[in-house]
Amino acid sequence: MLLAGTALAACSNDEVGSSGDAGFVAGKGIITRLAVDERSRPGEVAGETLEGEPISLADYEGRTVVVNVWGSWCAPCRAEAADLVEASEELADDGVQFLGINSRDLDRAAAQAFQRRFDVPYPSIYDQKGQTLLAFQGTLTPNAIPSTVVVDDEGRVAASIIGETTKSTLVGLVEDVMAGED
Amino acid sequence: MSSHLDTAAASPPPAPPPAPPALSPRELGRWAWRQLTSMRTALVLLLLLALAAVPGSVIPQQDVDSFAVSRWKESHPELTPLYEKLGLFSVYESVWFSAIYILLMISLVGCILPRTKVYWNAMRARPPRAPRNLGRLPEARELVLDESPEVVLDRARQVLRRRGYRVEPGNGELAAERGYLREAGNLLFHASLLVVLVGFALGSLFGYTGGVIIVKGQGFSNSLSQYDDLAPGALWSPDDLDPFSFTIDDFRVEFLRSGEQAGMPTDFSADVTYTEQPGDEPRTHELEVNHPLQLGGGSIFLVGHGYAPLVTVRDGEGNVAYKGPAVFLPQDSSFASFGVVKVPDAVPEQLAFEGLFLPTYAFTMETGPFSRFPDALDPVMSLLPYTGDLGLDSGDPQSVYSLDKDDLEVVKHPDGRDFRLDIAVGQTKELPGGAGSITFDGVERWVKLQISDKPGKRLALGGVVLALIGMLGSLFIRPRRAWVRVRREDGRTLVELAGLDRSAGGDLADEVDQLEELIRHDTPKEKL
Repeated sequence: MLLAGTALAACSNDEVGSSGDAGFVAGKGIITRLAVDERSRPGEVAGETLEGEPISLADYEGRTVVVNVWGSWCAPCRAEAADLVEASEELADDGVQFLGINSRDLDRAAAQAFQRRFDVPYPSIYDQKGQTLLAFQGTLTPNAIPSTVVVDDEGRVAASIIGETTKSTLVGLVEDVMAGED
Repeated sequence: MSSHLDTAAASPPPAPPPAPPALSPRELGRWAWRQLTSMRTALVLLLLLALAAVPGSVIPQQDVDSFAVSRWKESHPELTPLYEKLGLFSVYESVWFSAIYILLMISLVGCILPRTKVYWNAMRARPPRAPRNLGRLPEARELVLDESPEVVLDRARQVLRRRGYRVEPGNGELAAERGYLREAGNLLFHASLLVVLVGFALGSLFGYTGGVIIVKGQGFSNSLSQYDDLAPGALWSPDDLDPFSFTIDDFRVEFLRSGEQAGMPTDFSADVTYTEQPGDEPRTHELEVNHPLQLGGGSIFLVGHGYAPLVTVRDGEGNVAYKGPAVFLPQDSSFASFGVVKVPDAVPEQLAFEGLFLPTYAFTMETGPFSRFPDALDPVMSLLPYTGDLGLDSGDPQSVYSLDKDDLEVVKHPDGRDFRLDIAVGQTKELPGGAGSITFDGVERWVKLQISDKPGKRLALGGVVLALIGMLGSLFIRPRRAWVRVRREDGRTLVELAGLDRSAGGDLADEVDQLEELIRHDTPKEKL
């Protein structure tokens, strides 16, 4: 009985812990890179910006795009916000475009206040219900908020970070992707 | 013999018989295996499984309603450490429950597989030969007929065959048996139990259950980050989520207005527009408490509802720092709801509001403010505002329903009293010191949905149905044996007929009477 019991004690999910009553599911901080021949294009990632303008990932065809999923309510997103802004400014010289996907904010106002507070220079799609995230199925899915996905200049998903990141990690990852290394 | 008795008193008492030799490890293993796979052990384990499910039903479970667990823990602080140690808040994941389940499976498999061969052979066995003296069987008859033995025997064989017996002809006699399906029923029952266990195991390993609160007008896409809470099976992966999405277009709830049960909800339903894959034609569904939306990738159940007041918060600089619904959680059946509005991007200082939402405001000196009716007839919020540091910027995840007050201060009146504000729909209250203002714009409702996918549930259902059929078969099919012996005596044919019931009950006498009647006079009749 004891043997069976201990064998079974390992029966919890390795990828996702059970969430308790925090009100959201936390990811576990994973960086994944894909070799060039493993990459594929996501589905349509499009919508309206927080200001109401239409926008799409396809608008940036030909450039490396860093897609960051965030919410104004999300503590790790706030902690990494300054790093993301700095990374976006540093990588802008290399033609890298940052695109945010704002998810699970119940109204644009809080998200816009976030953008004001952290001086975010790049646009974000307002996607309360997370529809654009479904487009990443089959590639590297952004399974937590925050997550960052790097799309190479041929429109294919090349790398992802699930969880909070830092400027140096992100810049290093994007530069690897741009250099054609996996 | 006598000499033995004489000497018995004088000689020392006989040595006790030698103890049986200790079991070798292999023999010990065999003994343990036999014990484990015995039916008694299986029944004990089944009973334990049922008993183990009792705490799972009575004590709030972490994976089903973690808010209920937190509330229970708060109200029972002495019992909580004990319950946590025993794993009573997640009974179905606990080590001891899994151990019972696994042992039961091993016991069943270890018992059923060898028995399968036995049942199979029993099903195909030929009826045994007639005992020598048929007269000693419980129901025996003797007939004397005029026809020749061969004719009589032939007629007897046809009669028995028509009545469903398997007949084995012998030398001047017949052996017959019916009711082989009882063995088949037994076999089906035991095998189906295995199927049920496998079905449940599949569901709990590869399935998941998740919950989400959605405000009316908003929606959900089936991606891991969109869930509020999730209890995954051990072998489940977020890539297994099917890409459906839906919007809650409308939600209706009715409360009884009068009578004894005033305040009871009588009906909830939600209108949902959904797509199973991105790009599909949207379809609609009316979601009611017992009418889930069944999609390929999961089932969506309506399990609760509550209020989300709509507020606008302006910060010290006059910008709108928060606007929209804030989900408040109901505390009891009056739907007085508790919640928090966090405004982390208010400038110059972060703001927060914590307090009660009362759908139908009432006040007495004894109880203070309370809600007199669960419908939103006269909504009022009673809030305490805070300024300072919400603790969100450090990156440590917080519950969206509670404030971390370590670095927050209550906003106070100039005279030092707490600035509690009571605000009704349409009103705006300014915070002292120019910290900002809050406007109560209106009230929206939210629904709580449970989304789950349990592969193998149809397998489990099929298994239960088959097990029932098998059990009915093994209970109600009566195996029976019959023998007929004929011989020639004095120019006439003497027929001995006997029957034997292999299980209790049933009226053997009737059956043998029928057989006798038919053997005497059987002529092919039309079926009426």
